[in-house]
Amino acid sequence: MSWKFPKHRPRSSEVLSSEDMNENFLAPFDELSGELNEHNFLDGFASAQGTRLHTDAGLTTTTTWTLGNPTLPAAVGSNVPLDFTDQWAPVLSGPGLALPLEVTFTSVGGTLWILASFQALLTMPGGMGYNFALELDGSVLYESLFGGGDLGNDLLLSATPYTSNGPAVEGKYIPVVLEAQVVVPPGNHTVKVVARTLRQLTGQPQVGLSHRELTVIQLLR
Amino acid sequence: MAEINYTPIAPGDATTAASLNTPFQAGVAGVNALEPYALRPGALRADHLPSVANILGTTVVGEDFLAHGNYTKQWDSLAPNNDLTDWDIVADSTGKQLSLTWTPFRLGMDVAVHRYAAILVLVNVHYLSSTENVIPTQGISDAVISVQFRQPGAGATWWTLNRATRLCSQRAHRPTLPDPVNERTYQDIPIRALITKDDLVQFGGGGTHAIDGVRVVVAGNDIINAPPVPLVMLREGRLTVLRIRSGGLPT
Repeated sequence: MSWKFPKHRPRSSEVLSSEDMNENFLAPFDELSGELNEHNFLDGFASAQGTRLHTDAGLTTTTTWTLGNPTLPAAVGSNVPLDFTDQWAPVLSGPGLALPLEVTFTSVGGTLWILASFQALLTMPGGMGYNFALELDGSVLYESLFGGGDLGNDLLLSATPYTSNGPAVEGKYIPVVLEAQVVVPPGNHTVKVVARTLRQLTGQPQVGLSHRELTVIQLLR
Repeated sequence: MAEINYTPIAPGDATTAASLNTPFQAGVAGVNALEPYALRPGALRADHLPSVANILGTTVVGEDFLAHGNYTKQWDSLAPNNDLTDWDIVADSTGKQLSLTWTPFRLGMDVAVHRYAAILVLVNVHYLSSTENVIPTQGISDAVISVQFRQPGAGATWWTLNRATRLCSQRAHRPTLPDPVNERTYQDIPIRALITKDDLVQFGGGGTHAIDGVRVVVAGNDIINAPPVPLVMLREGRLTVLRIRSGGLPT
């Protein structure tokens, strides 16, 4: 809703026009039937009376999660398998597969705080392990890269039975968190979790995700 | 959005105090009946809301980096829903628990008593090792970490947020040479979870949507051997909880 002022200002001794009065009333009434915005509220109004506001009136959060089962193989139930590709690929979309780890939302523009948290199942003997990252509108956010040899998170010296011969992470069970803060313009945006292996292999059906959650918080302040 | 029915003033109508007041009254009624979704997404900003998120608390255990735990519960993937049947609370050698509690408040912004849309839980636990009979199990045992929240309106029960459960495999550096002292996994177990009203509803305490605590729990999991249950050893653990406000302040 934009700011609205009376179109016709009656003056003393002026004959009132019903048409002018109708126009004065109709403009703000029509606007009230739309969506209100920051121009329609006094500074600090919600500080005194914080009630009856919709969930996304302040901070806007967009979230999706799926309850998997880490005791089952990667392609069973609500778990999702990962592609065996050395190119970044989403986790995972396609007919017949469980819900992908992806959200699409509309932003008024500003800073996003993106958080992904999931259980990786990476039984891949002899492989090179996996990288994970966030992708925003088709671009990989490398600041979120997991499995790049960061000693804060990644163990590089593991041995059998869950061997990793490269810098990427591997193991029967690996808990992963990906985070990034980015500034986006107004409009629709899509955030995905993407993965890749450092060496393409075949016949490794036990690689995927079980429990998984993806949240985007629009930091509007 | 409000629905305001405005009856136009027709030419020739007698103008009286009542005929002028009626449209204003319709406007007043419409404003008073504004629905929560009358505000477009993101309408409220810094000028309107003193804080859109605040920290409920942060706590740390094991700051001395000494191993703590010897947690002995066996994770049960089939019945992990509540309390401590299959879990231990993460705590250090001083007894300090990785837990935060607070005065109850309600999640959701759709009735007057609700103040916050969600809480964001951030957990990091340093996983040291798992052992069976002291000797490292060399990759066949897991530490299992999860988040529990408490609903005062549901018998003060702690419920496990199942989707936040994370398993981390023990990995020994030299599997052919067990070394109880030096074989360690040294891995961060991170968890992030956004808890909303919907999470409270699914556990049967949704009537009030109230929440008053979050804690971090741990168990062991042996994927090959039968019990004895592997002993999970942890070091530092951190828990931070943010309230995400979508609306006004508590009065």
